[in-house]
Amino acid sequence: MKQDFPLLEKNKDLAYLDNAATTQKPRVVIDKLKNFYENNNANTHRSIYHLSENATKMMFDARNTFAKFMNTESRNIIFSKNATEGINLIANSLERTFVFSNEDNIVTTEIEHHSNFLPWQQLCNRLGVEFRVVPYDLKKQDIGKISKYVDENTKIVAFTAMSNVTGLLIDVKEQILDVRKKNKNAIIIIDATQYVAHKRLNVRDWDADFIVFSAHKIYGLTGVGIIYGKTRFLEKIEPFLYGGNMISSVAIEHSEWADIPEKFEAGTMDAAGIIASAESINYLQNDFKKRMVIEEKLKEYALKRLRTISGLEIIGHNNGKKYGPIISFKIKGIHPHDLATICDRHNVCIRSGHHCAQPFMSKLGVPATSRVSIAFYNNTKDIDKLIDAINDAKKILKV
Amino acid sequence: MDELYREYLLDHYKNPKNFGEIKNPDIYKHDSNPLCGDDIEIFAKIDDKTERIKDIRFKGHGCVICIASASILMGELEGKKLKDAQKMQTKDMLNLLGIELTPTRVKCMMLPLKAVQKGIIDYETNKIGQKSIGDKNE
Repeated sequence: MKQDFPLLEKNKDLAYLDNAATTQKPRVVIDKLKNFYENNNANTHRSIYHLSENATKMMFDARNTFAKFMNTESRNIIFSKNATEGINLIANSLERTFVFSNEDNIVTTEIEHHSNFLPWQQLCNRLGVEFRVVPYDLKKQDIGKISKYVDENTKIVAFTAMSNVTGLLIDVKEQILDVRKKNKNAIIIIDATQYVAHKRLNVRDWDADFIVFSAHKIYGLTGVGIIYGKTRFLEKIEPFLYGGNMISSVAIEHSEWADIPEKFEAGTMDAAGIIASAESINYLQNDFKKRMVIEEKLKEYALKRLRTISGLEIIGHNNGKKYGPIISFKIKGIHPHDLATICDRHNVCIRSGHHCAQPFMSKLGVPATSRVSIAFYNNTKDIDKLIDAINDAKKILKV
Repeated sequence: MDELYREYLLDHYKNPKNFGEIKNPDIYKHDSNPLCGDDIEIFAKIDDKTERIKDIRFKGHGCVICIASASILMGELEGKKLKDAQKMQTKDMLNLLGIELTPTRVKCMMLPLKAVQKGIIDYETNKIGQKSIGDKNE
């Protein structure tokens, strides 16, 4: 499948194992982007000449593609810059719409990416709302029931569907059911950024109020984020950004906002990026199941081989919980940065660092880990190269 | 052998020079690189008259580049004038280590020097503060 990806095709010797950071782009997506600028470029929603109308229609189709992919309607899909901006949009819009008191609380978890942690922490600081963080249990290597931290004063519950550090999958459906049992009014936000590339995302299955992810982690382009919102919330909440296209009327004293979803899309959007990113969804949907089986098998293969390396400790993946194809590990005596540098010498791309999840790192008691993240275009040869690189690092650093 | 992980750098990493603390230091600075979790503490004694570094030590943890850089830097700084230490830049560190680095790894290498330079600024600001308080009392 590497032949579908120009970068991988050109670099046959490259083992790209940093897919949780960003995925490579299939040829169809790159072609679509080029094609748009060469044949269809005009500002969307602005003008009535055919070029602009056509671009607007392409944008409409793209929104529809994302909506169908998530089993929802077009008007429930808002485009943003990325998942981070999506969560900031939701946090700010909720803050502008609802009244918060110092008896309220907002619940998130210790394993969140900073993008689903900081907007809530800062909102709590601004409003004097209690910030509740569901702890990660080191023994069980899990966060347990989020509903334990929810009470009648909980206003917002925000959590990830899959950890970007360990790959741990959260049973979103069950967690939401439990939260709703304790508080049916709490607004629930799911960060599906890692989940969406590896599992079927069906908004009706989860019953979350908002879901966000970034297109570039699912074979689309950078600069495109997707926000799903339930109609009643999108209708009610205030916009986050003000400007062009998001209005129905503007006067000196008072302005009215456009219908959803445009109400949330101020200014010229990255139409080319959105349209090309929708092509990645069409691409991914082909043989989705088969691709996920490939990823699962590769993950098992990687785990098996990594476990043979002495001094290497994998975080999680052995507690009977479900995991996506992300594996974080540490090696005694080797700093993750040194490992990543030596892997690079072998043409193996892995991530080292805190993965924008410092609270989680603190709980794990490490400043950084090495992380391998797999996509369906990887193969066992990539994993073998990784293992060779790790063994070489041990030799060079004499551990 | 990998160019970056030459024997002498690994020696510095495994047995860093000037590793440890100084009691009642004139300069103490703690700094870290959040990206990779490298963490360095600098302790130094200053000769007030000559404005030279009398003794300097460090503690901390980090990658090979960061720790080797700290170890080599400590040797370089002993006896150096504060103002000369402040003048040191990335290229000086690259020369001292004798390697080439990518931008992210440059940050690993620069952490110890930056900590020292921030510590010197603290030290000098404190001195100015003390003097001006003294002036007021006179």
